[in-house]
Amino acid sequence: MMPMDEIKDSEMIVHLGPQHPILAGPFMLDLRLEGETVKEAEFTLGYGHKGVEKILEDRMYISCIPVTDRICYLASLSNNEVFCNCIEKLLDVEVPERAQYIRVILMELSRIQSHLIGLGEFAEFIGFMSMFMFLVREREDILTLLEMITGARLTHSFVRPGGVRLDLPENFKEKALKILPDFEKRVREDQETLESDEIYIERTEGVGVVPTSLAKEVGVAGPVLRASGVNYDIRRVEPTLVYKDLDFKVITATAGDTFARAHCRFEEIYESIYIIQQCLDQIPSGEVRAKLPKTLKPEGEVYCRVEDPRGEMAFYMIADGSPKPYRVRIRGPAYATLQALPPVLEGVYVADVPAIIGSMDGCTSEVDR
Amino acid sequence: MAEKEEKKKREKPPEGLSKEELKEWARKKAEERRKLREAKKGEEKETKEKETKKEKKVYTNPLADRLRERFKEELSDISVDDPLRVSAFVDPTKVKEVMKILKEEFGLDHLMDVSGVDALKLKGADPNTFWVVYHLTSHDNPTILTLKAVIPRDNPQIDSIIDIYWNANWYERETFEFFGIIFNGHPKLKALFLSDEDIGQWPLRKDSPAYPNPNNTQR
Repeated sequence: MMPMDEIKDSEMIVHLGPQHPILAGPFMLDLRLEGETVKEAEFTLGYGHKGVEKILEDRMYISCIPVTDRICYLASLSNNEVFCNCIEKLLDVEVPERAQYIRVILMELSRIQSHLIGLGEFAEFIGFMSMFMFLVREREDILTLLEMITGARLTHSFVRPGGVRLDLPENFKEKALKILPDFEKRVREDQETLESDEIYIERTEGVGVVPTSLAKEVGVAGPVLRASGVNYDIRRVEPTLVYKDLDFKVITATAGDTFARAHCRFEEIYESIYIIQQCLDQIPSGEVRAKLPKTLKPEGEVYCRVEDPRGEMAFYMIADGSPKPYRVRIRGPAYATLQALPPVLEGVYVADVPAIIGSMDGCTSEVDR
Repeated sequence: MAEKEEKKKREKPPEGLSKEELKEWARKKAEERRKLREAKKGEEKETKEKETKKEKKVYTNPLADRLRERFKEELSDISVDDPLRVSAFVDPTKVKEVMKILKEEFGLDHLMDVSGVDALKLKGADPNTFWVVYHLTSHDNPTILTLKAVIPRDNPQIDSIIDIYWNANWYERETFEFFGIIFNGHPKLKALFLSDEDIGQWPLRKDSPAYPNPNNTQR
C-alpha cells in the first residue's frame, strides 16, 4: 500500500485488484497517476500463498510430486520434471531414453497449452474477447493428447524420479501426428487474425518496451526476455533430457514491445510442435522407468533448472540422507518477471496497463507459492 | 527365486539320529549358511564401495580457477560439484564488495536467487547459523555460482546487495519475512507475502512448529 501523505494534489491512486478481470490471479496493483500517466506502480502479494516450501520439507520425496503440481497448474509438468531432476542428480540415476523422450513430449505439450491460455488472456485484456474463445478451443486438442498420456487434464503428477509413471498409449503416435498439423494450421489462422488487426497493432506496437539492457538488469525470464533480443533458453544453454539431439530454433525478437512478446509465444508454439514431431519419429522402445529403491534417501546439494513455459524454473534442494528433503527453494520465472513490472509501467498510459500485464503472462499462483 | 532354489538344495539329515542329535546337526548347518551369507554381503559391500570411489569425479571449471586467484581472503572452500556448478562460502561482511567485482569483472550479470537456509538440524553444519545463499549466473555462460554466507542465528544481519543487483529486492524481502534475516541497507524491508501480523513467526525456520502456527490463537 502506498502512503497517502506522499501524494500530491494533482495525483491520485488507482487500486487494481486483488480481484480484477485484467489480472492473471489475485494480486493488488496500486498505480499512482498524474493525469493518465502512471508515475509509480506497487504490488501487494500473498493472496494465494500456500507455503509450498514448508510443505515440501514435511513430505516423502514421492509425495512431494503432487505438491509441485500446485505451484503453477499451467506448468505442472515442468515443475514435476525439475523436482525429479534434482533427485536423479543426487542419486546419480540415468533416465531410460524412452522416458526422456516422453518427458520432452510432455513438456512441449504443456508449453503449447500454457502459451495458448496466456495469449488468450492477453487478447481478452485488450478487448479481443473472441480470440480467447478461439485459442481455448484449439487448446482442447492439446489437452486431449495430454489426457491420453497422463490421464489428467490439469495437475498431472506424471513424472517420477528415474522416468515416468506409464508408457505412451498404443495409438498415441498416430493420433498425435494426425491432430498436430491440423492444430498448427488453425493456430496460424488465429495468429493472422490477431496480427492483421489494425486496432490490435495500434494498441501493442511500441507499448511497454523493455530494452535489452533493462531486461537483463531486472532479470525477466522466458519469452519476455527473448522478445527483448536476448538469446537465452535453458533448452539450449544447459540442455537436459534429449534436447541436445533435437533440432529447434530459439525464437527471439528485437523490438521488446507487447507485440513482440505475443509474437514470440506464437512462434514458440510452432517450434514445440516441430519438437514433438521429431520426438515421435525418433523415440526408441524400451523401459520407461529406472529401478530405484522404494524409499528414496538422496544426500547432497543440487541446483537444477529447466525451461518452463514462462522462463527458467529452478529448484535448489538440500537433502540430508533422510526420506524427506531438508530444504527446497523454488525459483520461479513468473516471480522474476512480475518483479520487473513497476519499472516497465512507469510513464505509460493507464489504458495500456492491461496490455502490458497480459503480455507478461504472469502466474500469481507460482509467484505466491 | 534364489532362496527357493537354496531350500530345495538343502541336504536331508542322515537317518537314524535321535532328536537331540538332529537339533545339533540343524544348528551346525544353520551356522554354516549364516557364515556364507555374511561373506557374500561383505563382498557386495566392498564392490559397492569401490564403485562409489570410482564415481567421485573431479571436475574443473575456469570460473573456479579465476575465483581462487582473485579472491584469496573473501571466498573459501571453492568447489566444483558439477561441470556447470561452482560453489563457495563468502565472508558475510564482504558480500557487497565481492558481488560488485563479480558483476563488473566476471560478467555474472544475472542474479537468479537469494534464499535462506536454517542450519539448525543440518548434518555437518554449525546449528547456530543461518545461510544466505546467492545464485549467480550470466546470460552468456551456463555456469552457476552458488555463494553461501554463514551468519549467526542470534544476530542474523547481512548487507543488502540491492545497489548492485536491482532484482535482489523481492528475494531479500522474502528471505526476511520467512527467516527473520535482516538485510542492512534495504530501502523497504517489510513483508511481501505474509500479512504484517505474521511477521515474527519466521515460518521457514526449523524450530517453527507448523504453518500457520496453531499456537497463535489471536487469529
